[in-house]
Amino acid sequence: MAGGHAFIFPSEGAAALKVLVIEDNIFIALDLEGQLEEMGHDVVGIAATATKAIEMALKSVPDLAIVDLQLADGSRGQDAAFVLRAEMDIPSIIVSGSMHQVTDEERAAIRPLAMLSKPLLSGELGRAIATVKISDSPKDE
Amino acid sequence: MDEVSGIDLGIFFDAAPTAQMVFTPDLRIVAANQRYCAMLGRQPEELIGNRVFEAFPANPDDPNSDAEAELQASTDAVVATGEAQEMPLRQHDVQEADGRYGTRYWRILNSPVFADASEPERVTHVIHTAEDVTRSILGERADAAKRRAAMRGAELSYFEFDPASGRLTRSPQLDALFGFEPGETVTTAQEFFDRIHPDDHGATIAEIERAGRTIGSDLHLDYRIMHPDGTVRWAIGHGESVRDPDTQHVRIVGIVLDATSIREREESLREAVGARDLLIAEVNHRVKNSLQMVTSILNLEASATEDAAARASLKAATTRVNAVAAIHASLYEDEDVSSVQIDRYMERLKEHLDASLSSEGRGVKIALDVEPIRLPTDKAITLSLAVNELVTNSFKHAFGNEDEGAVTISLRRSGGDTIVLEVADDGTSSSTDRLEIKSPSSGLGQRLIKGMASQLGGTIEVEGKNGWRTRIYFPE
Repeated sequence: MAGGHAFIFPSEGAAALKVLVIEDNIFIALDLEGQLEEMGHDVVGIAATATKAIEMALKSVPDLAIVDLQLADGSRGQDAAFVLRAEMDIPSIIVSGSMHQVTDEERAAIRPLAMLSKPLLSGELGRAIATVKISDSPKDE
Repeated sequence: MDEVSGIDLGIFFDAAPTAQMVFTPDLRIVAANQRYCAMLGRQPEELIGNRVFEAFPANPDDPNSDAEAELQASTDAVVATGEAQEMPLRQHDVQEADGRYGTRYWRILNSPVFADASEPERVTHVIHTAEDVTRSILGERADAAKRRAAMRGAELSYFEFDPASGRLTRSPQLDALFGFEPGETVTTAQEFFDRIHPDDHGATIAEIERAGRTIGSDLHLDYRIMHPDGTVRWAIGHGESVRDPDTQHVRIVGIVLDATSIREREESLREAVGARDLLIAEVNHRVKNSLQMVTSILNLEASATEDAAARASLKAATTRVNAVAAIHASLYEDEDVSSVQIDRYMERLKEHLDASLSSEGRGVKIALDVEPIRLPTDKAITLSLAVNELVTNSFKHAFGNEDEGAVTISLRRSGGDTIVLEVADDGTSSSTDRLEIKSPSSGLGQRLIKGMASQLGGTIEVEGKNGWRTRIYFPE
């Protein structure tokens, strides 16, 4: 239900998050999935377009989305991230090779938890998710 | 002889500051003073007794020369009237010592001499006073030629504006620039002002008014012109305000340059730069995405393999690709894509090494000591790979499992244009351990370091006291 899920980054560190990967490159998507699973999280799906992403988010209600900007069929990761944030209160971590595509307005509307430049350095994604737990939990409680 | 002074009056004639020659009404030379002889480069004996045009033949290359007839006519008038005659300013070229003719312009006054006491009314001789005005005539001509040259072509026009009457005097190019047809009669400046682009109109009029208020102030205009058909031209004007000596009115005089082609070129240059920036951003995006794909493929292979050695090799490959990738993140941060601010990049590489080596290095820290240096991109990539290998090597081989320590990366200039990279650790393991090739991967590391040093055109220096330090000296 929109905005109402009471999920929440548990205060004990090692909790598994439900993560949606929005990425149209299959190698990168599978790698992200692997990294997330290695960290103990649960990947609920891989979406290659904005429409598919929103559809999957509605179905699986993830705790977090990892979002690429330029998606298949020309759709934009920003649009998916915005819908996830505005309608389901699902936060995003943007991972892209061209951050400048995100305007200040989009950034303000999406409120991404982190914006990571491709290629990801080892451990970078893990550190970004770790800060999520600390910074986001008081707000939702 | 003068009875009072006892001086030959001819001395006064010779000493006169003007050039004078005396001839008879039939143009036969009787006398010429020193000034005249000097001015024409002749001796008196070459002249006296000769007729004027025997002494000074006309230039055969000057078809308009009818000097003889004119001089005769002037002389006849002197004889007839008994009064001095001024001749119109005229050219009569003079043959010089080498036979060439020099262009000369003359102002001439012919005055009567009444030397026959028995016939005091009869003009016996003519004093011919000649002033050489060649220099001022040619000067004016040169100025006029310069003005004509400056106005040539449609690009430059001249104007003179009288703010009191609103009259605008100008060369025809200005009408063309403002889009008036050759037949159109435009008399007031207002008609020109009405064609100034609305966005530039106010500032242009204000500038003209400002220049009009202070005599001698400079006028600078930069505006667009809108033709009735919608064509837009760019103009640049320069001038100054002056006071008309006759009317005492203030006038603004100046030139207007048609700058349309210059502005259009600027515009297309701006567009080209914009397109280039867009292209760079797109290429940059693709490069980063491709590098991400390569590391992802290596990561996937690494997680799929059961063999620990193979997994380590794949991890080493991933770190090497990441070292190259990190350069790309630094590459498009500023305008210059052909070189990289290496000190800023090293910060990023250190983060990346911290992250990827943290599991191996236990309590080992990486420290940075880097001068601000820009390096060409090729060198920066090679250098980053060398740093990657050296630091990885230190983490692997310098420290025991329980050790704490530091690996220091330093990069600085070392006199002239030599740069020295040093990677040093304070590890405890002996040098013999390190020289031993323990695995195919570390052997590859050593070979890569050697290869990269030579790719940089540098030399390697290794030192094994109190830890281990490797220096690579290379030219900038």
